[in-house]
Amino acid sequence: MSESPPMRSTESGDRARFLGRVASRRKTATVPHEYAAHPIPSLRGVIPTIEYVPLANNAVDEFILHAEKVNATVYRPNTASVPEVLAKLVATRDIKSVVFSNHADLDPVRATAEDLGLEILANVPAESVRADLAITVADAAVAGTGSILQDSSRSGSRSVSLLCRIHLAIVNTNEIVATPADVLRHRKTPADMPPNLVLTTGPSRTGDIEQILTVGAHGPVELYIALVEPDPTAS
Amino acid sequence: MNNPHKLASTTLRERTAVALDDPTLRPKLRRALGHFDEGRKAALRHIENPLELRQAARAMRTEIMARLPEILQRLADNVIAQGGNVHWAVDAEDANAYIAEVAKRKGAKLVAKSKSMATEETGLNEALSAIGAEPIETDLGEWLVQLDHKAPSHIIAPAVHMDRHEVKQLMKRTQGASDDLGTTPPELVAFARQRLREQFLAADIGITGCNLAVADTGSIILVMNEGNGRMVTALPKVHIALMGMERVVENWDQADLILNLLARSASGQDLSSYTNIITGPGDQAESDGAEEFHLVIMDNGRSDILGSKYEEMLNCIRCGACLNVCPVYRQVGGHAYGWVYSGPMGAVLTPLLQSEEPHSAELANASTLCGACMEACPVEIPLQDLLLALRQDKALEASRSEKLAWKAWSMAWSKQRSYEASMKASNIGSKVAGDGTRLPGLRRWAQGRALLQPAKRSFRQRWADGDV
Repeated sequence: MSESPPMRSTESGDRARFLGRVASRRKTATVPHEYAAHPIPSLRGVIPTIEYVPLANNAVDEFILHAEKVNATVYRPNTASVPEVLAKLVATRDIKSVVFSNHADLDPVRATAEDLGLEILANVPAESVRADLAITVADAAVAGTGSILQDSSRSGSRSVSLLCRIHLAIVNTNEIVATPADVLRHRKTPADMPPNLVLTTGPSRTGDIEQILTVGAHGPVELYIALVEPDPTAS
Repeated sequence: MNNPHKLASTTLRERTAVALDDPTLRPKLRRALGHFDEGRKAALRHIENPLELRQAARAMRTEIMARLPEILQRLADNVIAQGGNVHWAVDAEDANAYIAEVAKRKGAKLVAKSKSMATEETGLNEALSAIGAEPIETDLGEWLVQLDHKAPSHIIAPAVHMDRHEVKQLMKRTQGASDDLGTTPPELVAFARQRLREQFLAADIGITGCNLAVADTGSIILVMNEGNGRMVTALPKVHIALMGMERVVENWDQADLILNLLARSASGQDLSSYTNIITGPGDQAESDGAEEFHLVIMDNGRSDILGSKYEEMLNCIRCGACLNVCPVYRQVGGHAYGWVYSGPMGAVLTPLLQSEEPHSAELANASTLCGACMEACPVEIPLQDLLLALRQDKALEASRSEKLAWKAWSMAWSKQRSYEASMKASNIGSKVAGDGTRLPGLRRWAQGRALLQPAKRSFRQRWADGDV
């Protein structure tokens, strides 16, 4: 690859001509064509509220049920500390190396990893590609779909939760929201967007071979989620 | 309009004959498509108000098309504000040329692609190979068909026409797999994972499509299960996204409406494994990610559809639900349609986007007009109305002799005397026609049909004679 500096904020092609053509086509029909049998409803700018059929009566249980449906394994709050979960995974899932996202909250877990004799890899793809396990803090979670949200600027990379065989994500229960829009709706301008956000719903999967679901494709093969409650003593 | 990737020069009839000759195809389709469709229905039941949402999605997408120029302006400005590069591509050749130019400037040798129908539409892979930038498909199904030198046969399941044994043979033939490679899906997938991972890490450029762009924030959304879309946007230093100009919404509430319908309609999932939202190139806080982000906004015939009676086709979100319920697609699969888009949406889009090709208009005949497609469509595109309109357009262009024949028939049957005369004539005619195979011009039509014999005496005669 050549070393020319990256291109930023350029524009090419002929915007005026491109959009002029679109606009002139738009003028040929000021209202969209309708087929009498199937008239187009009018929205009047209002998107209906999206409600899911609940499986549980509280957000934590709702999240757990949906996450388990998509093959994630969830640890309920207060059942095991994150270091305990780590120790259990190391004992049972053939883990020799780990990579951490850049969240400061993970320092105690890092100490446990050292104690367990794991190789701790740097959060850069050249190293993290060898990681058996990745541990990250999720920025939010969606109860209605069992998803976790990762902002790669806060994680320190896009690949930390992607290249590993096993991903352990820590979710604070007060970051659980109901629907995907709840983590997106407030981001109204480009400045509100990090370069890369991922809503992860279960481990990677494919059905491309005979439409038989195989869990574990290019991304992590296993996803563990540890729910933690916010520390009541924190200010 | 210049598109190097053209509709096949064979006829629909020739291609369906090939499909129907393959006895293994229909069971594969039946199993796969049934599974997708059952999944769609089950997943929609998880929403309290799915019908209302589908109607709202239809209205919302239609309203977007009404203001497309201003929305695309905003999208482009916001992408540029975040450090992204925007190219306005008039047609396929223009899009391919821009992408090839970026690849050449970067000295790229290996380009990793995640699934993109738009790049199939433009035939991008050939343009990249031509300048020495080898493109490799990374979606498992797309990779398989690429290795097999075939076109994908379904939007969501590109390799639906291959079974596990064919996959193993392909791995042996092209990837040096040994004969001990297992044929269970997990073993085959694990083999592919390891092979493709090497490519992800070596790729100079990552190319994606764009499931949906969000104008207010200058973002693009990539929806995937395997994680390859994340790979090609995390590891290579350059990310190029090709989008059809209609694949845009304004804000997150609109995007969320579509996201709630897309995975459910495509594969029965509430959300796919990864919904990846990318806004411009990466920043300092990431140790990876693209330094350079390009969004190629492509017209390639879509503006011809805008403002026409086919405009609702632009609302399509490429979920594949219509393929799964179509009685024609279920019999013949995707290759019979001869281009990148198949099933009902392909039967509408191909005549519109490939109108200069012979044999494109006939694709609108690949339908029973049953309407199952509209019922499955998350944005309620009235596909059967569009197909009928396409057929009417084609009939207007029918040859003079065909038009005269229809006119003569309609005149004969508009008057009682000539109607009765023709009924008597058909009695005689049926004796001549026999089973139809002896009639010139009707032989092929008569094959596979039982030619009904008119009654010896017409109903009118029996009534007049008091026998009824």
